[in-house]
Amino acid sequence: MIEYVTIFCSVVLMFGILAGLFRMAVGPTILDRILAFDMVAISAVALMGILSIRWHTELFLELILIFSLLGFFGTVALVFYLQKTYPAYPADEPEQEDEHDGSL
Amino acid sequence: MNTMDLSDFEAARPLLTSILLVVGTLWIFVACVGLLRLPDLLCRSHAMGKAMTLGITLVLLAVALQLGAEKAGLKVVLAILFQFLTIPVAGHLLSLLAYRKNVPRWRHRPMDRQERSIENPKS
Repeated sequence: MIEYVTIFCSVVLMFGILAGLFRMAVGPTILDRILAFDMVAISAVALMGILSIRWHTELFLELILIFSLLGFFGTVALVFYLQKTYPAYPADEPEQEDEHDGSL
Repeated sequence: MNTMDLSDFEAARPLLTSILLVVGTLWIFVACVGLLRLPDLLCRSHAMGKAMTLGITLVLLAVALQLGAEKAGLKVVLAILFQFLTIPVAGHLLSLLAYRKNVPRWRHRPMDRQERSIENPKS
């Protein structure tokens, strides 16, 4: 039973990685791309967990720890770099407030 | 009595692992759909910060349950605690940066003016 469950979960997580790569490609700002990178890293960590369930080995646990650590520190480093260099958007004018009727 | 309980647990271990895996993977799928479909950076980090934390915690709990205490040891617990701590911190850092840099929001309505208009709608 657990073989089919791991195959199903691997397919769903690969869809998650594809969704993260799509968001990384089309993300409007660089912050969306950082968020998508975080998503890809965590989905890869979950795939490693599923592989270690399927092969019943504990060798991937160090890999899980190191990969999550690298993903988190990559996010933190990019955020602290962008805090100095990313240009702030201009504030909206108050006349724009009535243009939006609530539709998407 | 004790051995009976242990054998029952050994019989139920693949079922429990499968349930935890499927539920955690579906929560990660929810986070993926949120990352794809939500309109805004803050909404997307909301989807990441909660659904993704729950999903990866359930998947790593399934790993700990399947490998057992003698093979998994303390490292799985360390990985779960690390993910549980770092994913909300990363989402909060991104949201704070987006708020400070005035990144365009959904319907282009900044939060400060919205609070002010709630307090006195005439201004």
